Amino acid sequence: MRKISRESLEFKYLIFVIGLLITGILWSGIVSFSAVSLEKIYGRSFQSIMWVTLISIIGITVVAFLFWIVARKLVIKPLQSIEKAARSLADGDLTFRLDLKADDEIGRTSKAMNESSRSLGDIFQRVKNGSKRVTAVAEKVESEFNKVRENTKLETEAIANIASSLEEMNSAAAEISESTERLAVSTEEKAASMEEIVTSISQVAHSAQELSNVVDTTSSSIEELSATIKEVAYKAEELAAASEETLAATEEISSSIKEVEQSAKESAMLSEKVKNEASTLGISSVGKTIEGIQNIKISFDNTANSINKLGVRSDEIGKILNVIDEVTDQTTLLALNAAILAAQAGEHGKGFSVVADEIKDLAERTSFSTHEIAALIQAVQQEVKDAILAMDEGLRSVEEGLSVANDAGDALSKIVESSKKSAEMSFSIERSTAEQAKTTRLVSESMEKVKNMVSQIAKATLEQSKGTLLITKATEKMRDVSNHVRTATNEQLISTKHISEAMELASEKSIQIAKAVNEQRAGASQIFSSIEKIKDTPKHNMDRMFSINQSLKGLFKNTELLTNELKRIKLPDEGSAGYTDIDIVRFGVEPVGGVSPLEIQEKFSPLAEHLSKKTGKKVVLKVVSDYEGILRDIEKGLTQFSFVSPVTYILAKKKYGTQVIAKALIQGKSTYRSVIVTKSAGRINSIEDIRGRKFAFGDPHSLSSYIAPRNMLLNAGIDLKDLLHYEYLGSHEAVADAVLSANFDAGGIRESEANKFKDKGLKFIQFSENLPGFIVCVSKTMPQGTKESLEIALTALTDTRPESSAILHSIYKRYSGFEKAYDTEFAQLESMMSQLGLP
Amino acid sequence: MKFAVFKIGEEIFGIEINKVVEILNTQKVYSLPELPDFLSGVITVRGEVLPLLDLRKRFGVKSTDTKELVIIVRSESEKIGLLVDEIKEILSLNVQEITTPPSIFKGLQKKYLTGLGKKDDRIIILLNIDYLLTSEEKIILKESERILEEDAGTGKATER
Repeated sequence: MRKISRESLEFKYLIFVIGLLITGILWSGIVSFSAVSLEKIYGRSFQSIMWVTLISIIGITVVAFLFWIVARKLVIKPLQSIEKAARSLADGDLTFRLDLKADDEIGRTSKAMNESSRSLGDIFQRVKNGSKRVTAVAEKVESEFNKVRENTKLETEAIANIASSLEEMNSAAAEISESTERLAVSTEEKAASMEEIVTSISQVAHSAQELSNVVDTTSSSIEELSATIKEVAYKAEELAAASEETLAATEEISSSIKEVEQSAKESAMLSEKVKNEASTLGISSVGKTIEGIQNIKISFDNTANSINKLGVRSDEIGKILNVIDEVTDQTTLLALNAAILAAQAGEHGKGFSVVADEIKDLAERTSFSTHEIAALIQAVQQEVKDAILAMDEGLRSVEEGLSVANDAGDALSKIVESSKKSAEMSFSIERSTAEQAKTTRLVSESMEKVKNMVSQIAKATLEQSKGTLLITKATEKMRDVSNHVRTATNEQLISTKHISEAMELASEKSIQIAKAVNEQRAGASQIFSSIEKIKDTPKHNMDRMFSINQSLKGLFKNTELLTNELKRIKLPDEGSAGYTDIDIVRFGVEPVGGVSPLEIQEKFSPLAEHLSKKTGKKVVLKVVSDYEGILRDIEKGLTQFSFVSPVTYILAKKKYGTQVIAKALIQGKSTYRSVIVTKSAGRINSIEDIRGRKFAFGDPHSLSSYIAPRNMLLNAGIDLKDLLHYEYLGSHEAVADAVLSANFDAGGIRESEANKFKDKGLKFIQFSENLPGFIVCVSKTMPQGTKESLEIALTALTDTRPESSAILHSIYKRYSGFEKAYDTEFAQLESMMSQLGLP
Repeated sequence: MKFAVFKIGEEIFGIEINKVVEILNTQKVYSLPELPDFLSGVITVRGEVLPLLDLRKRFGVKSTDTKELVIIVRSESEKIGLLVDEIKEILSLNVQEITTPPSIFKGLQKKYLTGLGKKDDRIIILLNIDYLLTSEEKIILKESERILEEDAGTGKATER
């Protein structure tokens, strides 16, 4: 067939060559004729040559013109229609149909294009259906994750890594989609770049294969996750049992402490009583006893003294009596001698003898009395001796009594002392026991809390594992779907194979996709390592869930985007005509506050239409899942102007020289405020009170829920390290809920958002300065004319006119128009960002 | 007749009053070497050295009383001190109240006794002082007195 087609072309060229030959022959005839005349007419020869030359140029021109007409009819026209068809294919419009009946190469090419568009249409139809299923599954997964998030609020940091890995996967997927897109763009340039489509499709197939593998990997990772969660649940049960035991033990301690307290009280009372009795009764009576005994001793001493004196006196009397006795003896002797002498004297001595007898009698009587007295005195002395002996004994007893009494006094003092000490000790025991009881109560209370928390964790983990089961199922479905996609893509590949036979691989694209796939692989391996970490880090569960949810949202958004992208491809049965030849301007829109890309597409479509009408360019919406997508699109020149947050604008300006042209007005105002909120019933009354507390931020990229509150805290001298704990909860509502439920002490959100919760118990601590709202910015390569016309078209919008109002309210019901904006208005925001170390 | 009545142990003795020189309290007694057993020693009474005869030893009577008295008696021309327990009284006895002693009374030979006095229920042994010492004893006594006087002059006599 190809041989025939070459022959056929040769035939056309043959006609052309023959024509040229005829002309040449004719011309040579003229020239030769002229040469003959030249011989004859010499002299005019030079002039003649000039004429001939002129005529021949004209002749050739005429022949060439005729040939062009023929060639146009046969070649250029059909080529143009093919080009047109290629362009509409590039725009994703597969509705064209080439009606070239010729049986030459061009005719066959057009047939092949028709065929390929039909088969591409089929393929995309299948892809569309596949993506629909993916969307449905993603929705299901999202709702399940929402459930899981609500139930548990706990995830590990490792899953945050999964999230980022998934994000990377997403971006890789985004790159794949970009590659496809660029593939489309490149087809604009030449029909020949269709090769790239084919190549890209095969790359898509490859990528789908990879995606399928990644899904498989994810699925197994999730199974592992599920197992880990089960383990966590088991541990939580153990923990619960342990805390139950601890609680019981604490209660026992508490009751024994009460007993101790009671005993200590009684002991203190008894000690006090003993102390009082001992000190009041005992000591005084012992003192009296000692005094009495001392008195007794003194009187004993006195008595003994007197008795001793009596003894001495008796001795003296005895001595006197001895003298008397001696004298009496002497007297008796004298009387005897006198009587003897008287007797010897005879009659003369008779009278003398009588006297001597009387003297002797007296002496005898005296002697007798003296003996009696002596006996008495002896008796007295004996008695005195006895008395002294008795006294001595008495004195000894008294002394003994005294020492005993003293001992008793000492003992009593000691008793009083020790009673005092015992009372003090009892008091201190009582006091410390009371403290102990209080502490034990606290311990018991906190154990109760721990118990509750543990049971909550157990419950949450149970629900989490249920959720994971659902996820696993969903992932199974996803795997099925991805298999479908892969199969579909493989079919696609087979269908496009015969087109691509002559075409070469576009190595650059394949490298890019390979890179993307590598990133995916890296992401997947990160998932593995992250999941490894899960076992050890059952913390920051909120973060984890939030991140997973965010990434799921991203996934969801991306599926939506995929659906949306597919919508852009006009399939044959939908049939519609559109812009083909006019310039296209791509308009990037940054998603706001968790709005899905599809919604954004719907919200911004009226504006895009309006801008198309006013600027005369086709304005195509390019929605991405996040601000990074916006930046990526700007970097790669995929969008020419964007509707972005001021923070994204600053980043874009610094990196890619983007210029601001207009700012959106909310009810006539271009600025708004952020506010730091806390619970009305809470103890925080000023921003300084937040030091050392828990603070909730929204999104780390958000001006009103991160940059502005962070800036206010910094101005109050509070950095992140001065906070007990902080987290990014994603949305403003999540921050308000977290503060209201006292999970966090304070948080930063947009004023309009905070007002919604004011009645529910939010207190406003501090407002930020005026913050810039969303703006429209253009890439630095945009021609001045387009820029100006865009600016005029935007500023013309005002909510006073109904058609403009519809456009504005479609975006956001409080938008009232656009106003020209200048870069200088963002200087303050720029400095705030640099203060936080943001680029 | 009047007698000085004294006691040695339980026995009551009497000496005729004319034979008694005086009654003294116990005196310082000096012992002499080679003195016979019946003499306790010598005493000095107003410058005179007199032999002291312990009648308790002489009559073999054991005395419990520590109290002593000395009766100075005159036997023939010699003065002798008699160591006795107690001198009771001067007693007058009638002739009817004095009986002749038996040949031996209470271990005493008749020659030592002049008679037995009976007054109330008491029996008083009346001593014959002159026969109280044997002639041999009297010679020894004389010799002793001479030695004693010489010794007293040289101060050789020792206190008992």
